[in-house]
Amino acid sequence: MTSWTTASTSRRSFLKISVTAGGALLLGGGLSACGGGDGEAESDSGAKIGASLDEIASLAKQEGHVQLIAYPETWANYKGHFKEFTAKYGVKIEVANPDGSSAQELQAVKTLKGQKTQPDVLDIGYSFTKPAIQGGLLEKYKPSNFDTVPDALKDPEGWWVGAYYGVLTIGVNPKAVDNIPQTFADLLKPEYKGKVMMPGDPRQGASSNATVVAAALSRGGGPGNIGAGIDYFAELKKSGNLVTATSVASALTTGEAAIAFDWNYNFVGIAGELAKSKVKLEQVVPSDGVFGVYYAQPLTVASPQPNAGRLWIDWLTSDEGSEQYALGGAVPARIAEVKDKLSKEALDTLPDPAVLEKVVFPTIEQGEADAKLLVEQWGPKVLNQ
Amino acid sequence: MSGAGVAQRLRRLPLSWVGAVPYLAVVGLFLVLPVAVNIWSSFHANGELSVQNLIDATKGQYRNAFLETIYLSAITAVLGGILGMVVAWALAGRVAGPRMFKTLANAFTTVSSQAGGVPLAFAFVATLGAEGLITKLIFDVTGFQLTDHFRLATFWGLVLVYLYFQVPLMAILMVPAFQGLRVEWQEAALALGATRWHFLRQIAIPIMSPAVVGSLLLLFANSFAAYATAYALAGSSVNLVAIQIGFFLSGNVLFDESFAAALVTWMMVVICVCLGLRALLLRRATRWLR
Repeated sequence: MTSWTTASTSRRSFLKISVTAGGALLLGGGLSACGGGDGEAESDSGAKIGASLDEIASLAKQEGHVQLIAYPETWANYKGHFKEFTAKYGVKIEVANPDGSSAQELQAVKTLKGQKTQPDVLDIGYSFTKPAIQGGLLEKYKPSNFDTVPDALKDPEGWWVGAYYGVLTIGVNPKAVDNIPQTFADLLKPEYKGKVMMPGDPRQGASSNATVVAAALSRGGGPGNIGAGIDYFAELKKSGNLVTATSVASALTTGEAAIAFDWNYNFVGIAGELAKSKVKLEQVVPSDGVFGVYYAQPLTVASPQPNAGRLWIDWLTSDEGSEQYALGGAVPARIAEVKDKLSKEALDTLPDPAVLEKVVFPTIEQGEADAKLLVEQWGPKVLNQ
Repeated sequence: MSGAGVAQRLRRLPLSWVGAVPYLAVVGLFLVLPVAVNIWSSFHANGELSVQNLIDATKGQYRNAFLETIYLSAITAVLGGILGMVVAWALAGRVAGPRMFKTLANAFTTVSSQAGGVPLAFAFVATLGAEGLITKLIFDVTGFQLTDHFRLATFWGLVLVYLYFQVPLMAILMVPAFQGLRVEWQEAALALGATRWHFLRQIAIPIMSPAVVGSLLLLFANSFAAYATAYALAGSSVNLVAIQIGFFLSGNVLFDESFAAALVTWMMVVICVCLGLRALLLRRATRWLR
């Protein structure tokens, strides 16, 4: 999710490709043989799968643990999820490479397929669901609350569900500005010179990517039509308001920037770190660009703990899982249905319900088109103008 | 070649092969196999055999990235090369000075030539970044805001940081060459009536040039493939090929191994061209030896 890569990772990636080149061929045949669907009693690996949630839970307990990848504890309150899940079901959580990126997650499934350390469940950016399905890396599973997950946040056939989403938000250090900006248009004003940062590059980071789409919304564009957002950032860069920085927390505490774009729940995640530097952030959802993006939590193909993996997805989409997400500021997919069941603390951490009603989600095709245009235009129009 | 020589060589062959097995295994696994898989992958697009990715990788942003990377590598190789030669000349004993100083300089050169990655980037941010020690000191003393004129997250910022390891690397590579240049040769040349210029032109440069050419190429390759330092320092604000590859292999937005492989293939082509050039130059430079 957050991505931090070094030369050694990229070198390792070449090896992974080499090791898995053969595996990919084997898989293509395997997939067509086993259809997914409801109530299947066997996983793609032939392991026994519980017919009901209770049966899945008891088989999961025998399996002992669920293997996850790229689930940071500070992200969307996963720390709380881990604790409550283990307390309820007696199934331990193992997380590999917690700060890995979505691309690394797919690489890991390819590389580790068939081994004990293969991750059971992923947490990938929505644009990675298509390559994951095409690469034969996933197995269908519809958790018990599948029907009440909004259509925009699930694959109709059950290849994946998106259990939570984030709303693109502007975090402001109120001490460092005279007026709190409310819109994308505000941020172009001269008073914000050298104060606005976007974490990383929109060709690499999901939240910076969403920032450009949200900016496009403010100018009549939107998902699938990101061009206006690229033009907006070209202007923001030209005005001298945009500064280069990679870490939101460090930029806001050192004073490198006073205003940052990110998911609302990431601002919740860094609140403690900011408090140490006496920065109390104010969060504003720009009223001219209300945009949300979800992460998908698919089951991997023939996963080593098939019941524990299914149980984890059930948990994430359950009422209790929704509460844990909300406590971390991540909006649970079933918010419309569970909002009366959430604690007051959880509700207070989420964005305003009126804002949530306006959130626009991208489709996968729109995401692809936007990424393509960004790759073509971001360099020449914004970076090297 | 005598018959006895051939016989001896044949007898030695099996044993020397055994000795080479670990080396060949490592090269096969970690060089030949990845290169082969990468090339294979780069000739695919959307899972089908195609040269489309290789063609696209030479267009627009990517062409620009290759030019910028080559430009950055060439500049840091040449600047690092010149400065490194001066350091090597000093270290090789041509300049009088306290021994202690020379030992220290030697030790520092060895360590800093291997500096790199995130720690190096952080060191520069802490000294010359927007909130850096030196930046603040200059501002407090003179009121001059350095970051208005010079930023690390730019092309020339990267040049400066790369020089931190390029200069000492050149120095380390060139010290033996300088030491090989005997004082007696200069004395002999001068005694025979050569000027200093004659000595330099007809003796020193021909002897040193293979080492210089080889070292410059190494410096070029060193910064051509550098990734972590540039990424930590400039993110994507400098358009480098290695960073573009990172977008496709380890990002949260794009995922296209074959396209990344196509970019890597072109990087390998650039390095191969350099190696070819080096072989040509070396042949010319060592002509006097034959």
